[in-house]
Order: sequence, then C-alpha cells, then structure tokens
Amino acid sequence: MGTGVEDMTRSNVFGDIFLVFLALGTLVGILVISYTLYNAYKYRDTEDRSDDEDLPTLGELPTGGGSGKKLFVSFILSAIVVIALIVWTYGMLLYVEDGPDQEPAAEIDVTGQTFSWSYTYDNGLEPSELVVPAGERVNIDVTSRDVWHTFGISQERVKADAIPGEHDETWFIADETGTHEGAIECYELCGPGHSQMTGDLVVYEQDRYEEWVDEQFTLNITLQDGNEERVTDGVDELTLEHTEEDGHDYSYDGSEFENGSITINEIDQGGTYNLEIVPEDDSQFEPVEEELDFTGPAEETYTLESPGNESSGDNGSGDDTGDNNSSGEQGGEN
Amino acid sequence: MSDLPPKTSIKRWLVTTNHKDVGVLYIVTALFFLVLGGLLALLFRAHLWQSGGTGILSGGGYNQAVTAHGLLMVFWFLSPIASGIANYFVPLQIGAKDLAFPRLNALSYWFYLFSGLLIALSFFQGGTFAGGWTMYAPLNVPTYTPAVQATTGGTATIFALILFVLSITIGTVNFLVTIHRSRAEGLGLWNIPLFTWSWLLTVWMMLFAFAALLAALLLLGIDRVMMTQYFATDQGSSLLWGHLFWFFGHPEVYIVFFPALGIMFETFQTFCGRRLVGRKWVIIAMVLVAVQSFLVWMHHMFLTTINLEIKTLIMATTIGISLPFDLMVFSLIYTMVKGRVRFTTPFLFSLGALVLFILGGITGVFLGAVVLDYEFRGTYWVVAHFHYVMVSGVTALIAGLYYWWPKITGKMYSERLGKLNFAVYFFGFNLLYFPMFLAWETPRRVFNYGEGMQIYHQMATVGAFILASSIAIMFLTFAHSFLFGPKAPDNPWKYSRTAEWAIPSPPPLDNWSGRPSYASGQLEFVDDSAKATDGGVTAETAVAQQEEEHADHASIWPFGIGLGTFVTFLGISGLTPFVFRFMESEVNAGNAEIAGGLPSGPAAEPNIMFPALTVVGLAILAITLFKFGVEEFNAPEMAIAERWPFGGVDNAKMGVWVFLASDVVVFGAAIGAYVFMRIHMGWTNWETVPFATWPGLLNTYVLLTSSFTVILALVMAERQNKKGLLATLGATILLGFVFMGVKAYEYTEKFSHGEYWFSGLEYSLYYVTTSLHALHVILGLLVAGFMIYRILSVDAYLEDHRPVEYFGLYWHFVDIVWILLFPLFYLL
Repeated sequence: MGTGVEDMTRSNVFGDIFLVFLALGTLVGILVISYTLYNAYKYRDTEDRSDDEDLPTLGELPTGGGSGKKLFVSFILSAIVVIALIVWTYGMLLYVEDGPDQEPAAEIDVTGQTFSWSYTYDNGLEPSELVVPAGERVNIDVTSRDVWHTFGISQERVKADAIPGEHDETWFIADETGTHEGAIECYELCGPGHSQMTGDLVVYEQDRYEEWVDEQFTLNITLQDGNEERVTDGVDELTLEHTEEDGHDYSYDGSEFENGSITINEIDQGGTYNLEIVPEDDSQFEPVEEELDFTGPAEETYTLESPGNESSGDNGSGDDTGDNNSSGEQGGEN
Repeated sequence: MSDLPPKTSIKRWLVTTNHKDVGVLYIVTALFFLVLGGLLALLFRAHLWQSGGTGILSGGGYNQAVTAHGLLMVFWFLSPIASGIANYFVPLQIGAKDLAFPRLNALSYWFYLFSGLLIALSFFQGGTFAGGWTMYAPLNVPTYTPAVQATTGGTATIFALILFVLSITIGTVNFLVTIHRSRAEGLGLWNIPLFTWSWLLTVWMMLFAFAALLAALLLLGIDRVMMTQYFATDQGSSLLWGHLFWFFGHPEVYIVFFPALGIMFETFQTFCGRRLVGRKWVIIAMVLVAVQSFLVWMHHMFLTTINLEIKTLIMATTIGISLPFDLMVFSLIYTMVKGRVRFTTPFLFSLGALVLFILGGITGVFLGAVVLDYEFRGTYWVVAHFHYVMVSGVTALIAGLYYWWPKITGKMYSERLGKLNFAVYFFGFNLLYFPMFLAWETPRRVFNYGEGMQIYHQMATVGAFILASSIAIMFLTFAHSFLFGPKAPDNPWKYSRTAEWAIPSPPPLDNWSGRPSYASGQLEFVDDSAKATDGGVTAETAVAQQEEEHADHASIWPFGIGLGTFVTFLGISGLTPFVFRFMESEVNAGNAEIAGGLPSGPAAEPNIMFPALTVVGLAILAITLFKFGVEEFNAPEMAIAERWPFGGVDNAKMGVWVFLASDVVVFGAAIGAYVFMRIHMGWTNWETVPFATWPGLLNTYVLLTSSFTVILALVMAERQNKKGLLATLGATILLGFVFMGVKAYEYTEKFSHGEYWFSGLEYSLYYVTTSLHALHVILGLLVAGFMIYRILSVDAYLEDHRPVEYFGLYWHFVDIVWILLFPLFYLL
C-alpha cells in the first residue's frame, strides 16, 4: 500500500474494502445461485430416465452419494476466497486500529446519556455540537453516563460503543465541510428516546476551525454595582486561574476595562477557573472570589457589593450563583 | 392414569405424554407465536412507513414491539417449532416408541406454553420488556427502566424467559438420553438420519448454551426483583452481560438453524432421489460447527473495548466456523446433480431456503472482516443479514411442515396451493429483507431514519405484508387439506428412506407393530413374540416386551407443575416494589450507603396480589410435584437398542449426568461473573463480605460429612437395610439443615449491620452466588425428604436402589460447588 494508506480516511478504507467485498460477493452469489438453479432445472425429474440407477429405497441404512472429490474442490476454493479476503482486510484493520500517523487536531471525549451526546475537547471546550476541522485526524474517547449507547457517524464510517465505565477510543477524518444535521446517531437501543438520539456534525475548513476555536474562547466580563449600574472605577485587578492546569493564569488591570466591561480572547484552555476581582484599596467594593466554568463563549456579569449593603456577608455574586461556597475549598486544593 | 382419551377430547391434550401428541402441541403453539411475533413486526413495519414514524407507536411502544418480536420469534417460535417436529419425528427416525422420559417431555411442553402465556401477560403489566432481545445492561435493570412503575412487565418477561429455558433444559436432557440410548438395533450413530443428527447436535449445543443464558437470566431476574447490582454498575456490568448473553447467543444461531438444515438434507435427498453427497463430511462439518460455536461469541462485541489480540483470535475462529457451512451448501447443491428433482412444495421451500441461506452467508462474510463489522454493527446490514439466515431457517422449517404434514395428519394437501404459498412467500421475503441491505446505514431499532432511505423502508413494509399473507395462505392450505384433503398413503414421497415413512399415516400410538431393527442393514420389523415361540429369544427380552406393552401415556401432573410454576413466576414478577420499600426504609433509617442503588423515579405501589400469587403458586407446585413423584408411570427402556457411547449407564443416570453437566455451566457462569467483576474492579480491591472465615469452614466440613452419609445411604439401600437407609438419609437431611442454619446465622449477622444484597457489588456477588448454592441445597433437602416419605410409606429403594445413587450424584455435585465457593468468598 505504501504511502497511499498513510492518510486514508475511514471512509476511504471502508469504501475500498466494501467495494471489493460487494463485487466478489455479488459475483460469487450469482455464480453459486445460478449453478444451483441450473442443476435443479437440469436434473428435474422426467419420466424418460432409465430405471437402472441406484435409487434410494425406504428403510436403507444411509450411505453417502457420489464421490466427495468435487465437494472438496469447491470447499477449498471457497475457503481460499474467504480466507484471502479476510487476511487482506487484516492489514487494513491494523491501520484502522492505530489510525494515520499524524497528530490529532483535536481529542474529544464523547459521553452518551439518554438521549443526547456531549463533547469535551482536550482544550476544555464543551460545545453542543461536534465541530471538527476537515481533513485532519480527530481522536474520540467514547463512554456513557448511564446505559449502553453506540456512538456512530455513518458518513465518516466511525463508530464506538459507549459503555458506562469503559472508554472506547478511536479516530476519524472528516472530509466534507458543512453542517451535517443528524449525522451522529445512536446505534444501540437505549430507551424510549433512542430514535431521537441524534446530533449534528459540523466540519470546518482548517482556518475556519481555528477561528471557531477562538470564538469559543471569548469571555466577556461585565461588572456592576448593587444598583445594577456599570462599575467604571475602583477595580484594581481581575485574575483568572485555572483550577486544574498550570500555565493558564491571567490577570487584567482595572484600566483595561471599558465602561465596566472587558472582552478576553487570549484564553486557550477551557475548564473551571478561579476568578478574583480585587477592588482598589480605597474602593467602596468588597473583593469577589468565584468559580467560573468556561467551556464556550461566555458573557458573565459580576456584582460588586458595597460593605454597606444588606448582603454584606456575601463575596458578591456572578451570573451563575450557587457554588460560591465551594470556591474557597477548590482554591485550596490547587 | 394410563388411559389416554381420544384425540377429540380436550382432556387428551392436557394429560398426554406421547411424543407425537406433544410434538403436535409444540407445533401448534409455536405457530401461534409466529402469528403473534409476526403481527408485532407488521405493527412496527407500518410505523416505519415514513421517516420519523407514522405515529402508530410511541418511542417506548416501538421498543416494546421490536423487543417482543425478537424474543417471540427466536425463543417462542423458532426453537419450539423445531422441538415439535423433533418430538414427532426423532423417535420415529431412530426406531423408538417414545422419548426416554415421556412425562418430562410433557413437562417441557407445559413450561413452554406457560412461559409464552407469561410473556403475553407482560404486555398488560405496565408494558413488556423494551430493551431489545439482546437485553443489554444496564438498560435491563429497574434503575434504568424509564418508568419504574413498568418494571413488573419487564420482570415478567425475564421470568417468562427463565421458564422457557427450564423447558429447554428438560427437553435437552430428554432428547440426549433418547437419541443416545433408544436407537433401533443396527442403527449406529453414523447411520441416524440427518434430521436426527442435526437435532442431536442442536440439543448438545442447547444444553450448554441455554445453561449460560439461564445463569444470566437468573442474575438479571434477581437484579430486577431484589435490586442486586450485577448489571446495574459501571464496573463491568455491561460487558459481563455482553459476554454471558453472547456466549449463549452465538450458539443460539446454530441452535435455530441446525434443525432447518437437517430438514433441507432430508428433503433434498427425498426429492432429488439421491443420497447426500459427502454425508460423513457433512456430519463432521456439523460437529465442528457445534463445538466451535462456543468460541466465536465475541464477534458480537468487536466494537466494545476488547483488545486487538482477542479480536484477531475471534476473527479467525469466526472465519473458521463459516467454512463448514460452505461444505454443507455444496453438498446440497451436488446432491441435485444426476438426481430426479421433483419440484414439490417441500422441495421448493427447501431450495428457496438454500438460495436465501447462500445470500445470508455471503453477507455474513462481510461482517467477518472486522473493519466492515465496525461500520455495520448496529445497522440494518446486520438486521438484513441475520433475517436472511434465520428466516431462511424458517423457510426450511416450513418445508418440513409440508414434508411431514401427510404423515402427521394422514391427509394430502393441494400442491397448487402449496406452490402458490411458496411463490408469495419467496417474493415477500426478498421484498422485505433485501431493501434492508440497501438501507443499511439506518441504525437498528430506530424509526428516525434518513429521508433517502424511505423508499427502501416502504418496500420492506410492503414485503412484510406480502410475507404475512403467504403465511395466511399456508394456514389456508393446511386447513383445506385437513378438511377436504385426500387420505395420505404411508409413504407419499418416492425415494424417501427414513423409518417414519414405513408406518401408517398417521402412525399408531405405539408407532411400530413389531420391533424396528436395522441388524440386516435394512429396516425390518421383528416380531419378538413370534420368535419367542420359536425359542429364539431370551426370557429377559420376553419380559421386557411384556412390560413395554403396558407403557403409560397419560399424566396430568406435568400440566399441574407447569401451572404452579407459572403462577409462582407471575407472583414474583410483582415483588420489586416491596424491595423498594424496604430499601427506602433502610435509607430513611440512616443507611446512606445504599442510597445510590435506589432508582430515581417513584416506586410502584406494592400490590398484595403478587405475594399472594407467589404463595398460591408454590402451594400448587408442592402438591403437583408430590403427586408427580408418587405417580405410577411406566416408561420402559428399550430391551434391545443401540446405545453407543452410553451403553454402560441406564436412562435415568445418564439424564442426571447430562443435567449436572448443564448445571456446571450455570454455576460456571455465576462463578465466572464473580471472577470477571473482581478482575474488573482490581483483584485486590475486593472486600471480603463474610464477617469471619469460620462459618464457611464449618459449612465445608458439614457438607463433606453429608456427602459421606449419602454414600452410606447407598450402601444401606444396596443391603436392603431399611433402618440404616432411613438413618443415613436422615443424617444427610440433618446436616443439610445445619448447613442452612449456619448460612442463616451468617446472613442475619450481616443484616444486623445493615449490609444487604443491594449494599454494593461485592455484596450482590456474595449473597446471590451463595444463595444459588443454598437453593440447590434446599432442592436436595426436599428430594431427600420425599425419599424418606417413600421409604416409610412404600419401602422404596430397597428393591431398586438406583434413585438413592442419583440423589447422591446431585448431592456430591452441590458439595463440590461449595468447595469452590468457600475459598472464593471466604479466603481469597
């Protein structure tokens, strides 16, 4: 196969094998069935046959009819065809198991749950659709949160069982750009919503894909005070610190805010961040410490409380309240 | 009860134990389930008329329909119709008067019928099981049943399957003993007709495959009723089910197909007027397939996380198992050469089956290439392929019905109607299943297929209705023949060779007027009594002959036992809510560890009817089993028969051995589940459940001692020492009670610490495996108690001590199992 195999997509591999099987299968099928029907017709019972044949009689002990020579020749021929075909495909299997020798453009954890799919990229993004670059290897790691599903994209000829507690790893290279609605399907009966358990596949050109990734990492933060007025003054610093991975710490000076708002584009790792807003020393505001789940484009608004306000005990609250209490602990763990 | 009422009386069909009657019952019942499964298929094919569904069925209703269709067709139609044909014709083909254990034969039928009633009832218990016929875990446990209220119907389905497997197990034991030990003189194993050969291999496969399924279903049933954790965790549950199910599931393909293959061999030989080409090689090929069928199951799991080495190995065995079929197909084709092919209805169906099987086989080779399998898995390619294979089997089974109809009913049918039936059938079949290859990108069990596939699905739906109408024509043909058909001669087919054609149509109750014998190389009916007057026969034979004349053919108790088991299982299916309640009360009482095992939805309201049914069922069972045990029923062994290779044992002993062999697989699967789950969680991460080693050690000594007392009991029986026999059997029972007492103490100790069977995977494995063993001990104790009663009431076993020996075999087996369980759960 030489270098030809190297960059084959799964569709190519499948297409080649399927074509050969289909051609040979059709040929063999037509030959064998024609031969069967030909014999049935040729040896149809006509009354003019002589009666000196050795015909079976009622109650005889069975013996084999005819010599087995022809039987064995046919058998061995068919065995050679079948074994040759399978051995030929075995090389392809080895290729499909490991995939092409190239760095994956993305490694994506796919999780099935009744009745939808969710995706977590190695850069921490969690888009609602599967978005991949065209012509590049993408690795997937498939599992399930509840029952046995099977993740499959028929047009990319990729499929993996989604089994709770198991991680089924495979890869694919998408060809055709565009939004393929419903291209992702579930191939194992998983409950009443099984038929509707589909997802969209979005394939972008390389450049557009990178653009998309950048778009995903757009974080817009707006600060407001207790009266829902934009805070334009009195903030010293805003810091973001990834809770799990080093090297993803960011800080922004108060002066970088524009009308109480800042758009951050430089983050390239999604996940949970510890967010800290430090007011200026002489400011009327309390500091804010929050956890921020950043897995896609986000617009967050934080309210800076004044000590005089009713909710003085609070550290302040963002859009997604509820995990304020845990932020301190999480910070400690890191 | 030996008087058999006439065939027109309903009572006849309730009490009969005659193999031909039971065969007819099987066939009729199986055809009923064909109609039921077929109607379900029409229902969902109608739903599939347009992409997204026509709205006839809801998502859940659709899943119920496809699941029940699969279960009914595979379990309640395909195997039983073959069972029916085998019941009728295997004894005839080998020259026997009946099966070895006629009452057990009736019992397997009643278990089958009642299991069918149970699954039919499950539709009305909040919906039948809806997780596909493969029942993948963990969707198959209550936690993931969409509406927990609906668990009752699903559980009833599982227990219906358990009852069905019990029926199969009893049937296999019966057939294995019969075929191995009741062959006419001169009929060596090589020489039995090919339908009987195919059935012999079928039952051997059934014996082991269904035992694995039984174990899987028992564990699943316990999971569903008692909320244990076998299939509910993310610690290997899914894969455990996959392995257990497919270890059964792949041999099941051949179990279903072999009888059809046997019919094809018979009909090809008869209607080509030729002997099968390469007969011995065909038999060897079939034996190879039967053995190898247990080594390919993981090709159903290529897409799971099993590694490349195992995939390669399984790929090789899979190709290996496809090759013997090539040989069989060519053998059938070459049998036509130089023959006198007559296109009768049975031959047309057989030829059709061959053509369809060739297509099914070729499309199966695609799946043997792992890369293709990756993409075909879970799609309509698989659906189309296995329907081409399985329903080509159905085609051959219909050939069998047409072939043997004149023998069973004594009536000929209209060839014209029969041929019309075939034409419509063959056209409908291909219109139904061939478009599925074209629509292969459709995921299985999904009605939301791509728009481009619609035309294929519509063709398939039209085909389904045409296929269904061909089945209607079949019933019409048979009804027409039954009412107006001319009388059938003994042998309506030229060049048929097997013994069933040498006797009247329909055959008399006792099959033969003389003793069939092939001693001269040709079937002859020997008149032993006439010989006796010539002084040419030993006294022993004469006595045996006399006994055979008094063979019994009627007993109501198999029906009773079937009814009792049915009522019990129906009751058990509704017990889950009580266990929910108990778990909830435990959680509320502060036992937080088990909260995770509770289902998220609200539990169904406990209904007192179900425990009441369970009690009533057990009462019926107790009475009927007792009556069955004390009933006088004479089923004589053949005095002169070919018995290789089991000439050295008697029927009952061989039966016990064969049964224990299947029980080995049941325990093997249960212990295998333990090993699999423990390896999956990391062998050393396992926490030993019993609170101490000593109860296990004590119980080991207790059981070993009881094995010794059973041996003594046999010695006492041989010496005809009644008191000694009573004492030793009594001691055995006492030791059994001690064992159960220690067990009870152990369980109570665990319960008092809030550690129940649902407390975690280790607990489930411990409680369930040891309980499965304890259940065997209890059954043994019941048998021993019954034996003591018989000794006291009728001085049993002093004349014939063999039952004591059989009981001993069982008891030793139960002890050996404990010796395996003790280290696994207490020491390691």
